[in-house]
Formats: sequence, structure tokens, C-alpha cells
Amino acid sequence: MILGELEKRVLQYLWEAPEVDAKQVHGALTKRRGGSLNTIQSTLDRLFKKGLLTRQKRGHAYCYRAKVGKEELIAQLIQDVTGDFIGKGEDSLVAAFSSFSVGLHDEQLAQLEKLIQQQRQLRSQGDDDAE
Amino acid sequence: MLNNMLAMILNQFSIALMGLLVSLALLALVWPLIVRYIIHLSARSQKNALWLFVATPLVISIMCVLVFLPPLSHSESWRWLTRYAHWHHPGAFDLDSWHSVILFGFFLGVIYVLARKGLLAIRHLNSLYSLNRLTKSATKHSKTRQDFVVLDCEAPSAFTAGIIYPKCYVTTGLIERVSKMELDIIIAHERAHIKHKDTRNRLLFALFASFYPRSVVRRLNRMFSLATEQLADAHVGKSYCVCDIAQTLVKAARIQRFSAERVAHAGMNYFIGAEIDLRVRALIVPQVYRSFPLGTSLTLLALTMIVSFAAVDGLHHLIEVVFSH
Repeated sequence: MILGELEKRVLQYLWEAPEVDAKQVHGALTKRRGGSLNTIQSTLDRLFKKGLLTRQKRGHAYCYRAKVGKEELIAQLIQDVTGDFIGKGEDSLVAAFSSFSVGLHDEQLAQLEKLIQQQRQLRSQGDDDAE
Repeated sequence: MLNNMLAMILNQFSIALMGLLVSLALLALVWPLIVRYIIHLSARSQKNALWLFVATPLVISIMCVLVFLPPLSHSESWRWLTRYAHWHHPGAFDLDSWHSVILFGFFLGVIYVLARKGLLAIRHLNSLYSLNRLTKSATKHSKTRQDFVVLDCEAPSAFTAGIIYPKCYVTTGLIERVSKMELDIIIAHERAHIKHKDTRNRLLFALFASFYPRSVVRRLNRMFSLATEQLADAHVGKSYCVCDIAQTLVKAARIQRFSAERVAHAGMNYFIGAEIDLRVRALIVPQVYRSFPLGTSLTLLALTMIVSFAAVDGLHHLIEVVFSH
């Protein structure tokens, strides 16, 4: 999914406004930077088609509302970015610090923690012996 | 029937393709034996061995072109080789022949694979571009640095992404759950990926590896990914205690595991369980690695090359038992 600058500004406005039509968005966003009502209408339409807004017809105009919150959209984009490039588990375009491990159980994590603890003790004993 | 420069070029491609297919088949056959050896190497040697493995078929296909076509094939000093490895019609190419079917079939396959991977890469980059655009405003007053981005997201995650200008991304969901030292370790690990150009290397490696059968490709990519993670861990080990790094790794895995059960849209990657286990053990348990088998690798490379040279002509004759030009 790609978001243009105006789309981002419209989304940010909609995350704070309850339900607005194109004229209200135009009034709020184009005071400083300019821009036509048509541009705002097509931006809202694009965001609707991307599944980021919902809309309802009120009279002759559509009223728009954000369908996904900011955090949810960021999470969705993270999922898109970290999603596998080639196939499940191959993850070639992203280098992740730690990845959720399907086959790793709590007991295995506990075993690893125990192993780390043992190694810490061994190392501190080694340091003491060296002194 | 073509008898011009184009015929010469198409023949060169046919030779390269046959060399590539033969060497791929040979290496895919011995892969189960090779993998048993590779897993006992250090992460750096594993990475080198894997690069050598994926690059060998392409090197052999280029060598085949050099050996099979003039001037080398006409040279007196190479006559002993051309007795076994030769191409019967370097200057003639029939578009109605089986050569043509295989060659254009391969081209179509390559175009399909490149287009599919290209589209996926574009989708990946578009999402990354949107993510950067959204987070610029979210974090412009505080934590954003040139190569480090904080993402306002409850799902705990830390990753490096971007092909030309990679950056490391850490979510607030992870930052809130780890200590200052653990966060420093995570960021140092991600910066090591940037330093080693790992995202770009993984893309290149995946493209080189994509010629192999799917089962081999999966294992190759997974092993390469693990080697890059272990090298990033080792890089962080120069500045931090390895036990602290291992502890952070286990803690991050635990946080992600706990979060996956609660957050439906958690942005996470799915690796096999052994990956974290292997990384932790490689960090803290003294390992005895085998040295890089340079002699064995060169012998295998030479053998594969010789068999491929001989097989190009043999395969040519074998196919012509069924199909004529």
C-alpha cells in the first residue's frame, strides 16, 4: 500500500474528526496550502478504495469516516513490510531482531534462560579464578 | 535456420542454459551432503559457502560459453578439452528446434520470476514508504534519527528494512517492555544489519538461489538469514556481554509470543523455533567450528565444471535421440 502526502494529511484529519464530507476536509486542509475540492474528493475516493475509510451518502454528498485507526494502519504496514518476500519463513528483505517462533514453547524459552544463567555463573567463576 | 550473428548469440545462450541446468541438477543432488557439512561451519564461513553454492551454476554457465565457442574451442592448447566438450553448430540456430523451445521457455520463466519478485519488492517498498511517511509526523519531535525510526504500534517488533537506504525500526510496543540496555542491544543489532548491507544481500542471494528447486531454495534462504542474524549478534558481542544479548533475544521472543496471543494485528515474522535456540547457543556456548573447506570446495567446483562441460554435449546427443533439430 502506498500513501501520498495529501492522503496522509487527509487521514490524519479524519483520525481526529468524527465524520466529515469533502467540503469540510477541503475547508480544513487547504486554507494554508491551497488545492481544489476535486483533488480532495478524489483523494477521499482513493482512500475509500484502499479500504482505509468508510462512507455513507447524506443527501448529495458522501460523509467519510476513518475505518482503521492510526496504530492499526501502522501495524498493517509493518505486517506488509515484514511479510515474507519469497515464502513463509524466508523473510529475505527484512532483518528482524527476534521473530515470533512458531515451534518455540515457553518451556524451551525457560531452558534457554537457564542455560544463560549457567553461563553467567561459569563466566563469573572464571573471572574470580583469574583474580 | 539462422546463420548470422544472432544465431551465434542464441547458441551462446543455449550453451549457457544447458551448463546452468546441468550444474544446478548436479549441485541440487549433492545439496543434502553439502548442507550436513555447512551447518558445522562458523556463521561467516556458512555465508561464504552459501554464496559459493548459489553462484557456482552461473559461473559454470559462463565458463561453458567460453569453452564451447570460438576462439577457445578452436585453440590447439584446448583441443584435449573440446574432444569431450564441444558444440556442433556454433554458427547456425534453427528457430524450429528443441534448442529454441528450451531457450525461449527459460527466458519466459526468468521473466515470470523477475516480474513476480519485482512486484513483491515494489509492494514491500511502497509499504515501507508509507510507513516512513506516517512515522515522520509521529516521531519528528523526539526519537527519530537518520537510520532509526520509532513506530507508534503496540505490537512488539524490531527490524531493519529498505534496500538502498536501510533503516532500523522499533515499535513503541517493544520499547515499553525492555530496559535501556536491552533496547541498546536491539538497536545495535539492527545497525549491524545496516552496516553489513544485509537487506540488499538477502535480496541478491534470494535471486541467485531462485534457480534451484523450491525445497533447496527454502533451506538456502533460511540458512543465509540465520547466518546474517548470527553475524549481527556477533557484531553486538564486541560491545556487550554475550549473556546480555542472549537474554535480550529470549526476552524479545517471549514478549512477541505473549503479544501474539493478545494482539490480532501484531506485525511479526514467523521463523522456525530452532532459529532463536541456535542463535542463543552460538552466542553463549563455546562452539567448535570446522574451518572453511577451501580444498573440498575447489575440488567440488572443478568436478561440477568438468561434468557440466561433458554433460552439455552428452545431453545434446541424448535429447537428439528423441528430437531432431
